[in-house]
Amino acid sequence: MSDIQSSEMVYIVDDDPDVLNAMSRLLRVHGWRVETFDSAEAFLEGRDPQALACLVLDVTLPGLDGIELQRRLLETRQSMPIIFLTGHGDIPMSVQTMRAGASNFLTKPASAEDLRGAVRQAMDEEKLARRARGDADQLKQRLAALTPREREVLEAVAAGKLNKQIAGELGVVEQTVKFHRARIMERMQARSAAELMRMAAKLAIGEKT
Amino acid sequence: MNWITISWPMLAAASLSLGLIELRIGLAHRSLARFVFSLGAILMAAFSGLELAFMRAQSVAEAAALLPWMDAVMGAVVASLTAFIWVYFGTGRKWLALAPPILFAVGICADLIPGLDMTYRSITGIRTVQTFGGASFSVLEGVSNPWNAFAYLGGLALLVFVVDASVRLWRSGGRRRALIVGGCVTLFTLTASIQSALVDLGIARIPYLFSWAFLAILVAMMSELNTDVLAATKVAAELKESERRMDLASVAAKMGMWAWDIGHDTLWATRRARMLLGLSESAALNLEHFTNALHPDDRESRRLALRGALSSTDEYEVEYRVPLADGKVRWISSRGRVERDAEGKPLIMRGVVLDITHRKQVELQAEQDRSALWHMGRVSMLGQMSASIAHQLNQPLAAILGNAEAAQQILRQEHVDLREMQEICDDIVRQDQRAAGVIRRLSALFKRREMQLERVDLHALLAETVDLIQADLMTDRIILTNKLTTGLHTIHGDRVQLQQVLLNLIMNAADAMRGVPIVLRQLMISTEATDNEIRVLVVDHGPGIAPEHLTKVFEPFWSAKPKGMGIGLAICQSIVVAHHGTLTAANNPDGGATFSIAFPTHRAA
Repeated sequence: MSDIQSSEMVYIVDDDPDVLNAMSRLLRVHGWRVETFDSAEAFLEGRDPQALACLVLDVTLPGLDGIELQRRLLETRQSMPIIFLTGHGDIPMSVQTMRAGASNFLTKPASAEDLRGAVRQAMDEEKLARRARGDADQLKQRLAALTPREREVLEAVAAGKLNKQIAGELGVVEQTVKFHRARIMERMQARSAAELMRMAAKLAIGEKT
Repeated sequence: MNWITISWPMLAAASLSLGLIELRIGLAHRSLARFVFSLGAILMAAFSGLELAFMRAQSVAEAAALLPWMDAVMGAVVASLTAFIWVYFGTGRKWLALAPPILFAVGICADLIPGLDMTYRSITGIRTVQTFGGASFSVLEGVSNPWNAFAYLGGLALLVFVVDASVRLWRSGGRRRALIVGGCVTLFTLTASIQSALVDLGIARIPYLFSWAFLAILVAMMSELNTDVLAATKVAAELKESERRMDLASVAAKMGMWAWDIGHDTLWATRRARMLLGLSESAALNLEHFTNALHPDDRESRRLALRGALSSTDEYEVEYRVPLADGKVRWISSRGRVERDAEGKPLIMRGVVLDITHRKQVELQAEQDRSALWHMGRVSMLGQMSASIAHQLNQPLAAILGNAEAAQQILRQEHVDLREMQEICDDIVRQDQRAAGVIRRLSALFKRREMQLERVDLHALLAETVDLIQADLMTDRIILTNKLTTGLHTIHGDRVQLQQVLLNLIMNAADAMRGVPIVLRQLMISTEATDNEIRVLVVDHGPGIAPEHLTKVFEPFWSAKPKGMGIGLAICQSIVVAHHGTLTAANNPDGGATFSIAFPTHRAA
C-alpha cells in the first residue's frame, strides 16, 4: 500500500447501492480515496477535475449511461481512465468502450485482484499522461518567456540554419546570434543543442507553415 | 239337518274367519281398531256356537248351564263393540262408552249368584219350538228376571253411544264412516234387541237372531276397514310407481336425492345418493355421516356452503370429493335448497347429488394442459430475459464478493477494525438474502404450478416486475414511467400468472420500441380504478399495430415478429380471462400501442 499515494482518487458510479458500498469498501481498504455516485449526472456534478483519479463505471445506468458518459468526458477534454464494470457486458460493447479509450472492461462480479490491478494500471496511465501533459506545458511557458528576437533565432535554428545565415537574414553580426543562442539555451533550460532541437520539435517550431 | 244346524256353524265360522283375518292385519299394522274388531268377531263366533248348543239342548239343565256363558260372551261382545267404535271413530264420549259394558256387567252379576239367572227368575221347563223350513229349536220356559232389564239397558246405552259418536263423527267430516258403521251398528243392534224381546215375550216363534245381526255389523265394519286398506293399498301402489319413476329418472341422470330434517338432524337419501357417498344402503343417517363420507380437505368448503345456504337465501351448491376404497376419488356436485317455516326458520333442506367425476377429470386435464402451456410461455419468456436475470443475480453477488475481499484485506492488517468487520458481515448477510429473494422469485416463475388465488397488490407486483426486467429496459435505452392510481389496486388472483402477463406486455412494448430513436423510447405503465373495474395500461411509443392486425394479435401462433412464436399474447389473454378480466389492444393517437388489462371490481379483493 505504500505505493499508493493518498492523493489517488477512485470514483465509482453504479445505480446499485449495495454494489457501490462493497466496491468502495474494497478499494478503500486497499488505500485509495473513494467517492461514489449513483448516476452519471451526479458524477459530472460532484467530481473534482483536478484530482488524480480514475473512474469505475457501470455500463447500464438510469438516465445517462456509462458509454454516453465516456463520450461526454472525451468531448470536454477532461478525460480520466475509465474501468467499465458491468453485469452483462457483451463483446461488441467492450470493443466499443475500449476503442473509445477505456482503460479496462471488467464483468461483475469482478475479483478484488482484477479490480485492484485495473485501478493500479489506470492510475499509472493517468500519471504518465499527466507527466506528458505537464512537460509540454513547461516548454510552452519557457517559450513564452523568450523575446521576439530570440524566438526568431530559435525558429531559424530549428529550421537547421547556420549562425552565419541567421546573422545575414537578421542583418546582425554573427557574434550577436551566438549571444542570442546562449540566452535561448539558458531560458529553455536545454543542456545541449540536440536537446534544444528536440524541444523545438516538440513545440512544433521551425516547421514550414 | 235343517237351516239352523247349517247356518249357525257357518255364522260362527264366518265370524271366526273375519276375526282371525283382522287379528293378523291388526297385529301386523299395530292397529288397535283392527285388534278390537277381531276380538269382537272371535267372541261373536263363540256366541254363535253357544247359541247353537242352546237351541239344540234337550233338557232344562243342559240349557240352563249354557245361559250364564251366553250372557257373559254377549257382554264381552257389547264391550268390544263399544271399544271398537271408541277407537275407530275417536269421537265417542267417555261416560257413554262406559255405560254399556257396566250395565251388562251389573246384569251378569245375577248369573254369579247360585240358583239365580239374569234372564229367568225361575225355569219351569223346556219346550221345542217348530219353526219354518222344518227346523225346530229349544227354548226355556220360566218367569222373567227383572235383572234382564240391565241387558236391555246395556243394549240401549250402546245404541245411544253409537248414535252420539256417529253424529259427532258426521259433523267433524267423517260422514261415510259415520253412516256405514254407525248406521249398521245402530240398525242391527236395534233389530236384534227388538227381535230378542219378541222371542223372550213368546210373541215371535223364531230363534234369537243375535248372530245374524252381529255378523251383519261385522261385515259392515270390516268393509269399512277394508275401504281404508284398499285406499291405502292404492296410495302405496301410486307411491311405489312415483318412487319408481323418480328412481328411474335419478338413475338415468345418475343423480341421488337427499333431504335433511334440520331440527331432528335426520337425513333421508335415495339408494343412489347413499351409493355415491359410499354410505350403507339402509342405516339411519344424520349430517355427520354425510360429512364423514367427504374428503377431509373438502369438508371446510362444504361447511361454508351449508352455512351460507342456511343463513341466506343462497342456493346450496358445492363440489367435493368422496374417497373410494381403491384410493381414487369420486367427484360429487351437491345442490339443494332450504325450506323454511313462516318465520323463516330453516326446517328442511332438499337436494341432489350428482357424480361429476368424468367432467371433473376433463376439467382438471384441461386445467393442467393450460397451466403447462402457460408455464411453457413463461419459461420461453424468461429465456429472453437472460440479461435481466443475470443482472439481478450479479448485483448481490458482486457486492458479496467485494465485501468478502475487503474483509480479507482488513484481516491482513495489523490493526483489525472490528466495527467495519461487523458491518461487512451484516452487509454480506443482507446481500445474500437479496440474492436468495431473486432466486425465489425467479423459481416461482420457472416452476410449473396450478392456479393459486390470493390477494395481489398490483402496484407491488408492478414494482417487482419492473425490477426484474429493468436491466433489459436500460440496455435498450427505454425510459419507464409510472402513473399509479390512488384508488383500489388489489385484486384476487394468481401472482405468478399476473406477473407473467405484465412481463410479457412490458417485453412486447420494449421489443416494439427497439427500432425507434432513443428519445422516443418511452414506456408508460399506469393503473386506473373506476367504479366497476381496475385497469392496468402498458403504453409504448413504438410503430403501433397495423389496423388489420389489431384483431389478430391475441390469436395463437400469430406473430408480427419474425422470430415470434405467437403464443405470448394468446397466453396473456387466457390468463386475464381466467381472472375474469379482459385484455385489449389499441393504437395511441400520438403513436405506439396501448395494451389494457381490465379486472372487474366486484372480483377485487
